[in-house]
Amino acid sequence: MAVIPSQFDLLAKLTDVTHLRHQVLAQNVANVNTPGYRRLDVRFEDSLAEQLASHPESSLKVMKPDVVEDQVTPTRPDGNNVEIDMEMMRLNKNTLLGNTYLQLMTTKLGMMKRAIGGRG
Amino acid sequence: MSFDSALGALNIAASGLGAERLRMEVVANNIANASVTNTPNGGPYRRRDVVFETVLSGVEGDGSHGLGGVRVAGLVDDQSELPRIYNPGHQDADVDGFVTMPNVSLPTEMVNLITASRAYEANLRVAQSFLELSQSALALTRG
Repeated sequence: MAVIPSQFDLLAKLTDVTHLRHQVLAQNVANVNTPGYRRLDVRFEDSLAEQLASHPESSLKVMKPDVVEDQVTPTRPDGNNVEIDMEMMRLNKNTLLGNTYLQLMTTKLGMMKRAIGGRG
Repeated sequence: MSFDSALGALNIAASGLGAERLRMEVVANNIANASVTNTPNGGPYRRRDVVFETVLSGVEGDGSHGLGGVRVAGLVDDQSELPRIYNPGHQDADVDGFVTMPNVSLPTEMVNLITASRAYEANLRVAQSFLELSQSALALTRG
């Protein structure tokens, strides 16, 4: 029987990705006035869903988030394509998601603790 | 992954705060010198501008993904034409009575100031949300 609660690895991985995405968003916001800067994005969830659909038992260790440059969003006259309002929304979303993952982990740890302590 | 790279988002936000603050200082300097016709270098004051550049640091695989924030590449003098106004009584007036004034325009400076202060706030918000997230992560270690 597995000792680690189910999906704990997945939650840890997602927390990792949240952390990376926070860095990338920080980079975008810091460079909002840098001419010629193109915003960066983190790709992970889509490839994760694909991987899990095709190989449900595959190891999470091989999955790596990708940092990609956004070539789609149109640029301003100074060659920069950071939209500060969109970045702030992404930041809020990321914080909320990160808190959700961490709360889930806290809950799972609490369940384990109760199971070990033998109390209801 | 070093502890410093765990605080990567905070360092990046801090670099943004520093850069935007410098921009505000340069704007303040431009406005303060808006009517200085005689500088130590000779001639009237020329407005200055900051140039930002992206920092790509670290090596592949150290967990930083080369994200290093922003830095100020340098300050440049605005080489646009200096306006001349007729003021024969001025001590820096030429033989025709014209004084060459600094090329500072208040509307431009004010717009730059607003841009800089909004960007400063945005960077501050990033730092705050990172701290919020880190507090939640730390809460995992508490019972």
